[in-house]
Amino acid sequence: MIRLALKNLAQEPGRVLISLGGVAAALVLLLLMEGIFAGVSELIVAYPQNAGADVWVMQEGVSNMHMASSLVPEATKGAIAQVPGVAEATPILYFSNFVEAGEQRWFSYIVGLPENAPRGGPWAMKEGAATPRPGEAVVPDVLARKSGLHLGDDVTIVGRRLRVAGISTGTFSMANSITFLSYEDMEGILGTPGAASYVLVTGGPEVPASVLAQRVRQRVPGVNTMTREAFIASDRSMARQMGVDVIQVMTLVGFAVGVLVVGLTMYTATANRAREYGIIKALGARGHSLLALVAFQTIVIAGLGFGAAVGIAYLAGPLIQMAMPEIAVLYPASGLARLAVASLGIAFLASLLPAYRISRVEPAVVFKE
Amino acid sequence: MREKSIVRATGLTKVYGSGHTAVRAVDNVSLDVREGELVLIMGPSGSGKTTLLSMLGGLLRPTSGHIFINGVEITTLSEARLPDIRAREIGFIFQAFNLLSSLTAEENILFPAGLVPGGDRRARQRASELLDRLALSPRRRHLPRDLSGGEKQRVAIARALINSPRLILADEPTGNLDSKTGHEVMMILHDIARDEGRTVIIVTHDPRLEDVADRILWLEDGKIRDRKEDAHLWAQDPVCRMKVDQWTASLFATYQGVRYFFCSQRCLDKFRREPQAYLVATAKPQGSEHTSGHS
Repeated sequence: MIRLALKNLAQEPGRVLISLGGVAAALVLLLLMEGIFAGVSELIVAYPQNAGADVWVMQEGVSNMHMASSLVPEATKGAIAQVPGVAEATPILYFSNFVEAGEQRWFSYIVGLPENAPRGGPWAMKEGAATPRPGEAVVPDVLARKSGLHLGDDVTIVGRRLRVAGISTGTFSMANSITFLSYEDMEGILGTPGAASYVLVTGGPEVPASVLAQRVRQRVPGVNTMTREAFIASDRSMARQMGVDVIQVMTLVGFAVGVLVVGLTMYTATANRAREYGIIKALGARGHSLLALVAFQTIVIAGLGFGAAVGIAYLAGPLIQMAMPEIAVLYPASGLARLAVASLGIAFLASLLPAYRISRVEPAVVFKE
Repeated sequence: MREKSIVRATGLTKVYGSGHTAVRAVDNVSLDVREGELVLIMGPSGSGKTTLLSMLGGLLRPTSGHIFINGVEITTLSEARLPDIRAREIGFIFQAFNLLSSLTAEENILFPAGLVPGGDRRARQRASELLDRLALSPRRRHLPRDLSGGEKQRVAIARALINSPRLILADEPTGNLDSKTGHEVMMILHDIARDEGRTVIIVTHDPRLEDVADRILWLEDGKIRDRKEDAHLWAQDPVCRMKVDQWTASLFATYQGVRYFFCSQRCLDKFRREPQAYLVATAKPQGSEHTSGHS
């Protein structure tokens, strides 16, 4: 039966190509959507990934950086540094707003850094200073390029004009960018002298991050603490939740397109071969063998479509990133696994209609001319 | 050899539709066909021949009556068990050949073996034997679209024989073939019954097949009836004794001043190898011609 199924497919390469192409197109759409979203989500967590903290300390009740705000009072900030096991504590100020460059406005995380901060600043520089002084800003390279900014040009943040002193890399995505100011400028903008938004804590090698986080939380009232990994996971989850509905709708659309394309092509193929299925029944094939034959054919098409989609998506990813550096494309294994399951679902649903058609074929059809 | 009943049907009736529009396609037919018998079912179009054959093959449920194939009553079998009976006990040959278009000749022959548990084991060997026997070996890897009508029908015959069924059901097996090829196919079926002891039931309109049949059942209006004799004047093939139309026959040989006509190349070859053996059996060749030459 398997040989017959494969030979039937091989005998109609045009039909198989149409069906396979339809499935592949639907799955590529899904894969790219999810890949771009996953990639952008990773860029959104780029800052906590590269800030260099073992433990993040923030206002009690806060567990994110993305779409969140936090305020740690000055006294608390001082208490954190006194907790045994804390090797170093760097306060940062943070809020989200627009960076205006000429006629353009860019949504950005804006991070205020203390002078000579050992961590929390840009992790890769294209040119200029990594730590801004009062009146200065360090902007992402893509933002600078798209706005025609160079070192020494001005940008405006909440009405405050700042001179571009440095241009960083790896700090820009289609969802956000990261701009660095001096702590002093940020205090002026936020009106919170002495306070911090987050405190980036590092510990000695003898204290695991989870122990240090627990210790700070127990000894310093009014704060929440999270290890670097937990904080990144929380922010990533928050970023992805925002696109889940869109992804789900697109998944359903792609799934439906796949089912329709495979289902209809397999149905017409089955209808065209109805007499042959009658012959097979007359020769002694059981009904479930014929259903397995159809299901195998749809699985082959869905499987090839899945393979083609993965291949196309992996080829397209780097090309997209080359053309649009603000976009990152990432295909997590879980996404591929979901797509494989979706392909199987497409094969199953697409085989129902042809299976129904086959069940209605009478073996006595063999005696009709 | 002919003691065992392979097909037995009693009170077989098939009614299509109901009420005023009901049609009795087959009406209370009983028959008993024994091992090694070659039986023709003949009759006018619409007489119920194909319906009867469909029921005997387990492809159609009768409205009433019973059918036993090799001792097993198939009319009471569930739909789940019928395919197994068809695969093991019955070989089908059709007018339209009904080969699977995507499979080669050899794969078509092997296909029913895959439907029987354990059938694959010796099937390749048997398929090779059948391909040789039916002169299909050079065509084994060809698709049906590349085969002639006669070759397709020989593939269908080999397919019907692959599982060594006791019963062969053929529906107009010569209907789509030219005269010569039709005769060859008929002789193959004749040999299947005579040499292998299989039971062969053939639905046909072809009167030339009557001479190789053990029995002819005449079906008219769904019932088996006595048939009026037709007057034909035919030459007789000295090998198989089949009727051959002298005016259209293309195969003949002259021996000792007498021209003999043959239904197929197969019979002609047999005759050429050992003419005396057939002339002893046919003391006075009917329909032969005296000529002045020798072949």
